Amino acid sequence: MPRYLLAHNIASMYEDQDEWVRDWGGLRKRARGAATWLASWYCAETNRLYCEWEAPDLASIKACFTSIELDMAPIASMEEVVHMDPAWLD
Amino acid sequence: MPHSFPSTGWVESLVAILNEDERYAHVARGWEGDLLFEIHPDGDGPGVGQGVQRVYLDLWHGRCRSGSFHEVGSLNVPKAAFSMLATKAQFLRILSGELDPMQAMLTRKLQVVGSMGYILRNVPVVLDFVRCCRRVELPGQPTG
Repeated sequence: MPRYLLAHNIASMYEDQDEWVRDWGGLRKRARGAATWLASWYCAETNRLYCEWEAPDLASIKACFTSIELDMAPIASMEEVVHMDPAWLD
Repeated sequence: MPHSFPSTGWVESLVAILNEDERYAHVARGWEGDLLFEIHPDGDGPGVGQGVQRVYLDLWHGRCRSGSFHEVGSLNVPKAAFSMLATKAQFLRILSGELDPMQAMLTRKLQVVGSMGYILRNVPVVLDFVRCCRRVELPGQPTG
């Protein structure tokens, strides 16, 4: 299954913990079908969120997001990437 | 010297660490906001309000201007910009490094009252603050 790295520019941040947990919990449920949300990294300096996905195609990833989520964190880039694990060298 | 959590000794040790830690001073140089830990008894979920111990820390631009421990029923607890609520067991899991603070917030094991946006925008400050908290030696748990 191809992997993708998405970069989101954070346009607006959750001001309430419950909203954050509820929305990310919803995305987690939606991202358990064709597309799987694997991990995220947030960079406070650039206010960007980087997310790793596994999916058959980009469209199945985009289908996981609500319009509100895309307004809050618009996708700046979506790139297919190849996973490499340094532990393979051990 | 080990200090149990929460206690006056633990708070005094943390205040000293925060004020001598150069990395914290740098990372938190822009931070403005005092913090209140609300420590609930184990088995007593946050929000119940009984038997709650509190730790107040006045964090300002990479320094801790003051800190205080407030036993159950204390009346003179300062208001803070941010409150973090959890059971004592969950606080200890965070302090021991067993529970990641981001995971604790995202799973509500650590409840945040105050601007979540400010907390998220300042995640490096929060994580470095937790690193300093972990430097306070707990009984039976030497810190590195």
